[in-house]
Formats: sequence, C-alpha cells, structure tokens
Amino acid sequence: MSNVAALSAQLEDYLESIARLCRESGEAHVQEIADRLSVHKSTVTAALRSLAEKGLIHYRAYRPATLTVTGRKGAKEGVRRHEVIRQFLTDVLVLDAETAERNACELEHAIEKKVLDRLMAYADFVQNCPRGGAKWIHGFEHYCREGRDSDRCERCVELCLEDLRRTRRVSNATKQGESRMQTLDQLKPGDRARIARIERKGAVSRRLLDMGIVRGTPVEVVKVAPLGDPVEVKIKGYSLSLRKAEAAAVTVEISDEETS
Amino acid sequence: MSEERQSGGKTGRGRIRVALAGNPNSGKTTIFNALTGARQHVGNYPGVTVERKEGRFCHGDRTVDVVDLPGTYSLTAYSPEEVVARDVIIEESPDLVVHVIDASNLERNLYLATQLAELSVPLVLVFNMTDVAQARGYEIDIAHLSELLRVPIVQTVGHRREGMEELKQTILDVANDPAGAKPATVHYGADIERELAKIVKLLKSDGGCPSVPGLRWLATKLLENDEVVREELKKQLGDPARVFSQVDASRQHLEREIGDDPEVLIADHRYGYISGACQEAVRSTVESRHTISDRIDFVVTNRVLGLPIFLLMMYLVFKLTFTLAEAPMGWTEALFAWMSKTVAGFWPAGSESALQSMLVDGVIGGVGGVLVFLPVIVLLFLAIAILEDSGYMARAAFLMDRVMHKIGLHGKSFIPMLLGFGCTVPAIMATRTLENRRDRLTTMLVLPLISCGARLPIYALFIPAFFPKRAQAPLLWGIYLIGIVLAVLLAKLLRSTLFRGETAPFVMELPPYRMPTIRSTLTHMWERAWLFLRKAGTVIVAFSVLLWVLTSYPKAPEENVRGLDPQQAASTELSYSVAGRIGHGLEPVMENVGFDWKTTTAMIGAFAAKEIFVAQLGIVHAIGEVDEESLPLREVLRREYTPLQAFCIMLFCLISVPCMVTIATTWRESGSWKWPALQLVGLTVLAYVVTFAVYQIGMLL
Repeated sequence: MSNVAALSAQLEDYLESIARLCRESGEAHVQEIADRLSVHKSTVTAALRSLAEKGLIHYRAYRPATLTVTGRKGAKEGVRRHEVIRQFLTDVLVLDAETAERNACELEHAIEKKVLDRLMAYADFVQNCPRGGAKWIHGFEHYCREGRDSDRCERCVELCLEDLRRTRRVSNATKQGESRMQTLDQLKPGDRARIARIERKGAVSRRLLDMGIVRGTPVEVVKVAPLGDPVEVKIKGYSLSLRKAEAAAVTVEISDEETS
Repeated sequence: MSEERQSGGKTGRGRIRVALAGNPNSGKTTIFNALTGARQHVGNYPGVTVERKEGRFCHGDRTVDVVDLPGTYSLTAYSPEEVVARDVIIEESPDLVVHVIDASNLERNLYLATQLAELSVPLVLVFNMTDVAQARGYEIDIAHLSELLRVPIVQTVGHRREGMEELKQTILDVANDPAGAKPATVHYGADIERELAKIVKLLKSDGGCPSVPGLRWLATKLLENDEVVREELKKQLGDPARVFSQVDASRQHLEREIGDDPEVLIADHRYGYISGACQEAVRSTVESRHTISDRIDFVVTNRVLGLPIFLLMMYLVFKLTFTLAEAPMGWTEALFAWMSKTVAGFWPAGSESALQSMLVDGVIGGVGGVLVFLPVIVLLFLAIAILEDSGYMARAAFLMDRVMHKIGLHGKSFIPMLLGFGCTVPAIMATRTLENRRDRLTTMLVLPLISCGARLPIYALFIPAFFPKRAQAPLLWGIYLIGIVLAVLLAKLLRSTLFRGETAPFVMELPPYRMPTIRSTLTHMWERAWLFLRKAGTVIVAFSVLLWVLTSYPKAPEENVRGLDPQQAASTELSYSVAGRIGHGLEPVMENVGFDWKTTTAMIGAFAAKEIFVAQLGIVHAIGEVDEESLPLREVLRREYTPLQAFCIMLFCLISVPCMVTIATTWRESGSWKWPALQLVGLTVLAYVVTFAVYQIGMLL
C-alpha cells in the first residue's frame, strides 16, 4: 500500500482509468487511456512507465497495460474513494453528474480516510433514516432551487411516518411467513401478489413493462376468460388482460399478508 | 381556407404548432374535438394506415395548429402508432406537446409523460376526466404535482368541455415562454446515469444527430436497445460503430453490475419516479375497489353469461349493419336506376350511342356501385365506434382470443371475420382495430374466403336447380363451412410463411366502460366513411368503366345480330366483346374445373360485384337480365351443366376474390398494391387448384 499512498494525484487518476478499462475489456490500451483522460499519448506512456516502476502495472512499450496485484488493490481503494465522493455529491448534494465527476477527481486526492468514512456513513444515514430518504433529498434539491418553503413541512413529516409504518408492516409480514415465488399464470382469481421480475425478453417484455408490470407493483388476478385463456389482472388501478403464456413469463412474490 | 393558411396567423406572428399525445382511452379525441371544433382534416400517415388528424383553433390573437397523435402507452417502437407519434414529435418539432392524461388512472398515464419529458419539448399535461377521478376518491394536489414534474397541469372534463379556455390560455403562455415548461426528467440512478453520460458525450461529439436537445432521449433509447432508433442512427451518425460499441459495452456493463436488462431497470426507475410523485401529491380518500365498470364486467365477461352476451352483441352488430342498411341501399339503387333511365332518355329511341352506353352502364353504374356500399359502411363504422368507445371491443377480444389465437390471430380478428359474412368490404375496414400489422394483413387477405352476402344469390340459383330438396340446406352450410375452413387454413399458412414471427402480445388494457358520446361517435363514423368514398371510390369507378369496355367492345358485326331478338342479340354482343373472347380463350383451361366459355365470361363480368354473375349468366344464355329466382335460367342451366359442374362453379365463386371493391379496399387499407395483387392472384390460384381437384376427382367417381 505504501507505494500507492505515495502516488501523485495524476498517477492515481491513471491507475483508476487503467483499472476501469481492465474491468471492461481485460486490458488498457494507451489510446483508450489517452481518450479517457483527454491527454496526449506520449504523456500516457510516461505515466505508464512510472506506474510500472512502482510495481503497480505490467507494461511494455506498444503493449496494452494490465494491473499487478498491488496495483489492483491500490486502484480499488482509489476507485472506491472516487466513487464514494462522487456518489455523495450526486446523491446527497444533488449536484449534476459532470460537476460531481470533476470535483470528485479533485477531492479524492485531498481527503483523509477518516473524513471519507464519515461521508459514507452520513450518506448511508441520510438515505436510510426515515426522516431522510429520497424525498428528503428531493426536498433539499427543491430548497436549493427555490429557497425555503415551510408550508409542506407537516405533510412531509406525516409521509415519513406513513412510510415507516408501511416498511415495518412489510418487513414484519416477510418475517412471519416466508414469501413464495410463483408465476402470474398460476394464481387464481382473487389472489394477490407483487411483481418480482419478467423472465422473457423482447416485444412481450417491453409491452409488459410499458403497461406497468414492474418490480414491487401489487397485482391482483380478477378473472379468467370463459374459454380459459386470457386472464384479467388489476394493476396500478386499472384492468389489464394477458394470455397465460405471457403471464407465465412474470414471476410474482406472494407474502402471507397479501393472501390473507 | 388556403388564404388563411398563407397569411399565417392574424397578427403575422407565427402559428403555434401543438402535438396532442396520450394513452388510448384517455379522452384525447374528445379534447381534440373540443379544442378544434369542426375545423379538422383527417388523412393518413404515409406508408402506414395510421390516421392523421389535424385541426386548428384561434385564441386571443394567435392561431394554433393541432395534430392529434395516435394513442400510445409508450414511445418504444412497439407499434406503428408509437413510431408515428415519436416521429412527429422529433421530425416536425412542434412548439409544445399537450399530453392528455386520464386522471383516474394517473400512474400508468404518466409513464408516457416521463418519456415525453426526455424529448426536451415543452410539455403541458391535461388531467382529463377529473370528474371520474373525484368520484373514485382521488384528491390530486395539482399545484404540488405540477411543481414536482415541473410542467403546467390543466384540469379538464372533456365531454363537458370544462377547462378548455384554461387549456388554450396555457398553450399560448407556454408557446410564448417555453422555459416555464421544461419538464423534470427521471434520474435513473448513478450506474445508468454514468453510462448515459458516456453515450450522450459520444453522440454530441459525433455531430451527426440533428436533435441536440433530445440526446438524452436518444441515449436512453439506445440503452434500451430500441431497434428503430438504432437503425435510424446508423444512417445519420458519422461513426455509428463507435457509438454502438459504447452502447453495447454499457448494456453489458449494466447487466453484469446490476444483473438486469437496462430496459427493465429504466422502466423500474420511471415507474418508481411516478409512484414517488403520486405518493406525495395524490391522496385516495375512498377505498372503493369495485367501480361500476367492475360490476358491469362481472356480468359481461362472466364465465357463464360472457359468451351468450357476446353472441347477442355480435348479432346486434350484424343486424344493425346489414338490416338497417337494406332500406337506404334500396333507395340508392332506385335512385341510380332512375338516373340511368333519365340519362338514357336523353337519346331518342333508335339513336343509342356508345356515349350513352358508357354514361349509363359504365359511369352511373360504377358510381352507383360505390354509393350502394355507403349505408353499410356508415352503419358498420357506427357499430364499431360504439363498441370501441364503450369499451366492449376490448372485452370481445378478451372473450374470443383463445379461439383466434389457435389460428395464429388476435382476439380482435373475430369481429372482421364475422362481418365478412355480410360483406367483405366493411369487414376489411374493420381490421383497423388490429394493432399488429401482421395480424391485420393476414386477416385482410383471408377475409374474402368468408362467404359474403353477395355470393348468396349464386348459391340460391344453382342449389335448387341441381339438387334435391333435402340436400339443399346441408349443401349451403357446406359451402359456408368450406369457406371458413379454408380461411383458417390459409391464415395458419400465412402466419407460418409470409407473416412468420412471434404472435403479437395480447397484453391489452380493458378500459373502463364509458357511455359513448353521440358527437364523437358520429364524427368518427363520418370521417371514416368519407375517407373510403374519396379514396376507394375513384378506383372503383375507373374499374367499372374498364369492365364496361371489356363487356361491350368490340361490337358484333351488324349482320350477326340482324334479325335476332334483343336477348339473343345481347348474348351475341357479349360473346363478341373482349370479355367474351377472354372467356372463349380461357375455355381450355377452365374446362378442367367445370367451366365453359359462358360461365367464364359471366365470371369476368361479375368482377364488378359477385351478384352480377347471375345476371351475366342470363345474358350469356340469351335469357336476358334475370335474378336467381328465374325458372327459365335454371332450366337452361340444368340442360347445359351437370350437378358436379354446378358445385364446382359455386366453389370457384366462393374461393376467388369476390369483387373489385374488395381489391380496392384492400389496396386502400394496406397502403400498397402488393397485397391486393397477392390477394387476387393467390385466391384465384387457390380457387383453381381446389376446384380442379374436386372436379377431376368427381369425374372419376
């Protein structure tokens, strides 16, 4: 780790780029690295040589570079640091992707591990605390744009409570009776479940998605057509019909709460 | 009208162009009618049979042009409607898009809004049917939702025209200041956003894309693996390979990292975004899960009652279309008979000329031949409009899909098939309700095999003439049954050869039952009927004149007809005409299927309309123009043909294309000459092959 710690900010950037390229295609070509960092190829070559000297990458002239074991560890750490900061900037401070990327590149070299850990903990806390969450962050975004608006505070706190109770209920329900997975065509009229996933691809899947068959959505089977084939389901408050063959492509989750 | 169009708005400021988008059944058409009133223009999008409706209205000092996009649930390339909708938005770049939303079904309707938002055109949302939403106990905090989505929202009740002034004003406001309607786009989460940013960057640097503000939408579509967008970009981009390799890498990366298809992830995020917004801004006060619509459905698609009710409804449709049309059809025929007589009377007796014959038999006959269909078509469209607007059409498909799916078709194909027993022409038009082009073409091509009403006189002439009484009814049923069986077989064949591919998904909304409004039903009916008259009518008149020429020229030499009575003279004239000569010429071929030159000639004349076959037979056998009850004609037929020949003649009439109106309608509805040509040639060959087999085997027995 010591040789990684001593890296300059630029070399760290190089190491990260190589790591990403390696993850995507197994190796990193000089041209690709140059493209990614918007520098000239000759600059890249110099940097690669320097990284190779430190034992972080395997590199020979005109050959693509790959990471050594140490290099991979170092890059992981660097990438992680970069990611944590970038995500904090986009997800908590609701900055746009470009600003976040730029600032993450700068901040990752200046920040201490302790601060980084706190940032992570804070992001986790904000996203998962019932008083925070996506809505709270959304509220912050609104605040940044429009300034203070205290009219909705009460409603917002109410919603927090509602959400909290709902998640409690759901987690209790899943704790009590284990949920069962089935396909939608196996359900009987009157059965309720939640969409888990769609197994098929192509036109059918696309159509199902468009019509609102997405993960987590509650669904109720209403009836089967008199001749026994298409079935009618209620989803998102409207009636949808689909053939059994199509329903068979939809996996649903039934928990005891819903069957009762 | 053209003057106004040129002047472009009353104050010289540019006109505002608005595209009206929305889900099917969201009341979009009602809003369109309420906005534009009678000033509408209906046409077709080039190459596809999707109706294009345009209209305009004036508000304040501005003129607003409105184009009504086809109803779609999404902007994926699932159906021609969706492709048309997005092409209009991208290529015609309207000043703003007005998205009509069924407020009582908010979440699914807003899904389209999330996609429209990505196209970066100013957007106005219309929450229609707010009365229904209120009745269902939804309380929508419009101000808050508008703020969340960053678009203006107007509440309307379309059929009562509530909120229309506010909508017009909002359209003007947004057109004047588009910055106020820049909708919020869905944030797809860090991973997808990162890949999107990469693709957008490449697209931007490529420079081949004209719609720079819509790059995010393009990138999303590429990530969703949308074939149409990909094909289009392949043509436009300077270096498509570079962009596509990034897209493929991104798709793979996402699948690996998150373990799901990007398509699924993107839809998840869109719906997630919507349900988040709705949770904040919509409250449901009543927990009434059973609406009136549910209660109607309980009866109408009931396990026991469903099918009987369906059959009753179909009986009513059939009755409405064909029985009610009888009287006006009679009037039309009478009117044209009178016109023929009057026009013929302009020439004093003995001075009849070719011009007279052409006017009377060719032009008036042709125009009459088209107009006589008008009552059936108008009534059919009325029936379809009622079925569709009320929401029953979707239930009919729901009930019949099992049967139709067996032959590779969609539940909605049943109604055209049924109408085919009345008349093939309106039946072909009824295939418009089919979304999928393959289903639609298959249905269209096999429809002539369903024995139409015009072929009944032929059976009514031959069956009593040749067969004993107890065999008559079963024989008639048999003929109809042969038609149905052949239609089913041919449909299967087409679906496994020419129109091979996955059957269209039956994932279909069962919209809430609604009372159809008289106004929209009538507008619908009239528009479609007029379109038929204008487009197919000209072709049919041209065909009629051509057929008149074929059956009238060249004239027989004077000495051949001298001294003959008028009936024999007519027979000789027909034998001398092009049609007669073709009949003679084809005799060696047609002999194999039981036809002589007389029946062949009659067949050519009957291309105008199948029931004419009987009259033509009368002429060719020198009995004069008679109907199917004519005893002398039956007498002659009995003398000249065997029962086997009679059966084969009926069989050939059943299978071959009924008439030129069918061909013209297929052309009109399929948008190309390729399909009617295939229909004509294919069915004629099929008729020949089947009849050949029957006749030859029959001769051996």
